[in-house]
Amino acid sequence: MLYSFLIYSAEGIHGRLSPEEQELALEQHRLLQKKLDERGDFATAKLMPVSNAVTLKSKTDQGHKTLITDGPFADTKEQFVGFYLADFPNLDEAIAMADMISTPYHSIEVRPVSWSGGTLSSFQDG
Amino acid sequence: MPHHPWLQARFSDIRPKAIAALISYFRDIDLAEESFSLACTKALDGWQKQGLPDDPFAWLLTVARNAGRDIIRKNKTRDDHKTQHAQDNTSHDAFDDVQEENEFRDDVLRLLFICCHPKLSIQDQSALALKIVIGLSVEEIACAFLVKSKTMEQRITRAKKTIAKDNIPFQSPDLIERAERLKTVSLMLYLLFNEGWSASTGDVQIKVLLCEEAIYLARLLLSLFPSQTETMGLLALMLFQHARYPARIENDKLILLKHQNRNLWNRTMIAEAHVLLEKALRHGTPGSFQIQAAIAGVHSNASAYEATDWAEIERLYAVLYQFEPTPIVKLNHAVAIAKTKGSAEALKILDDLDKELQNYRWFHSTRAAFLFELGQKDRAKTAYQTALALTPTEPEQAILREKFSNVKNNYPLCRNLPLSRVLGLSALGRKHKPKDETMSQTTMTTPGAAGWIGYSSPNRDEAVKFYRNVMEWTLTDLPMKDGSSVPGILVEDELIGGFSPEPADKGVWTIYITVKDVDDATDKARTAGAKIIREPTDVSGVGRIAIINDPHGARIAMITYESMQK
Repeated sequence: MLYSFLIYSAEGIHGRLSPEEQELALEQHRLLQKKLDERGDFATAKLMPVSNAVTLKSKTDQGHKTLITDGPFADTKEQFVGFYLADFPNLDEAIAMADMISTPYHSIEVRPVSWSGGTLSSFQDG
Repeated sequence: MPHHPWLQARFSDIRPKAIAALISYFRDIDLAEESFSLACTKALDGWQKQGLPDDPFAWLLTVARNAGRDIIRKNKTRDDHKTQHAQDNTSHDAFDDVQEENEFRDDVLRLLFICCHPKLSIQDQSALALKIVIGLSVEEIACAFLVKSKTMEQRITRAKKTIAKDNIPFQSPDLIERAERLKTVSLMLYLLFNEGWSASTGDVQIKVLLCEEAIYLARLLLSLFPSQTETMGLLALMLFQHARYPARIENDKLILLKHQNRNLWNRTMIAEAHVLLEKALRHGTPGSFQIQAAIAGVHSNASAYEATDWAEIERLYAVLYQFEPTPIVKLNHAVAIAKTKGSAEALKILDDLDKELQNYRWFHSTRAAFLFELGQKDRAKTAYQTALALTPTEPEQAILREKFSNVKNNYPLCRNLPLSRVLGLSALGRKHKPKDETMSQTTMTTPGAAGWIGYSSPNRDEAVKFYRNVMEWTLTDLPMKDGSSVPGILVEDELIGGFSPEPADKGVWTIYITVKDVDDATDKARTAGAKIIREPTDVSGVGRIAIINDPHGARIAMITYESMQK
């Protein structure tokens, strides 16, 4: 079964940690990525802050015109900040893997994937 | 007590909004800071035992408000007026009813704006923001500004006294006021970034803190006003520049852009800056920060200094000069022209700037470089000596300040006007330049005036671009209370209309006629055979508006501005 790990966090917190603490958190991710890589294919992404996004809303009442606004407007306390996508034999294993990256300032949703497609090329800080 | 770093990080992240809310609640900066820190101490203990509350922000705010009220009660020696005020405030406010986080955007903006007091130096303005808004310690700030803690302590205390005398109204600002505040605060953040960036060799690593905090505050501002294109531009500009930080020092030496190892540039930051800039440019309301960011973006795109697209940079500086006709921009334009058309051409431009920039180090070093290239070695040498004789710190700051003194609608404009006058101008009211005050002139709030034109269409962004190309209009973002923005139309310094975000089936212009009482006028119109398209409705921060079709089918809007309603 394909599972996704959907990571939510208050966006500002990571940046307010000391560089050492930030490094510790990143190290957890590197370990997970190494593990996942050994097991087979996986996809992962870290998203830019929501201020960089635009939101499309189709207006059903006005001839289906699409309204494009900047960023998700509602200031939700936690934002979707990144995800993983990989194949696991069962939920327990998926949870065990997701736990590798848990921190007190993130929540991680482990959600089964009903369909996936496409390919991802990687983009990394050079 | 163990200090959990992630709890501290969460407090830091919540702090700007919480402090802003507490200041608008208590009207007392010290009390707000004190009660917030008490709430954090309580949270540090409680959250570790019981886990995080559902809404940490609301939790901290409620606890801080209670703590603050306790302090007021216990401390009878406090200024009576303040005590009275805080009590008045609490008596009619449902205490546990903490607003949503995003309700505090005007509070945060006001707090940052208060820090930008015109009587304070740029350094003191930023030091104050770092202390109050971000919550850095005096030691950290002193270290970043390379002064003694004691000195910084005194400066902050003095600065706090200065702003305490200030009387910024606490009600929601109108559109223009909000736009001006954003502009002033953006400028302060830009100068804070520059303070960190213009460090000399030994201080780069120490002063980088200032760049990082400026970026943090710009992000905060953008999260509160996500549609402000100039805020996007400001953040993009900072990120493009800051991305080069890892390449700036090598063996304790400052490396110029020309010689930097571009592989060391932070690509993630550059990518983010590009995204922000692209997003901003879609709106079709260009401004100084967006153009400066675009220039920085051209540099970031070049794989090597030699591969820089100087023609594009030259074009962008020409555009920037239209927004900011200052000698500094011209100097930079000349540098780009030297690359595209040669040093002789560029030197001619510099000759015109001699008077204005005679105290500017870079002017003389640039001139020297041009002269050198043209083989005029003696004159080049003299120019270099002049450059070296100028100290790098204060004059540069002064120039930087002067660079922005010509920017329209800058801080002093609203400060110099009596408060009543500022408030007397309606939300969409035309702002008078002081020189106009002696002239008799119809204002927007004069009944009968055709004070405003409003546009709706299926595609606002495309429409904005069309009209910007066709008309002699400057388009600027007008920030709304909810964080969105409306492109406003400026003719010289006068605001004459705006583009509605609501899509319409087809493009339509509506003229807004000012009326004393819009309900009254709508009734009269109905009796006389008009079709009412929109019954009188209140638009927050603007006024009460009705739209009608006259008996012949012509559409017109009637408005009673908020400031006219008594």
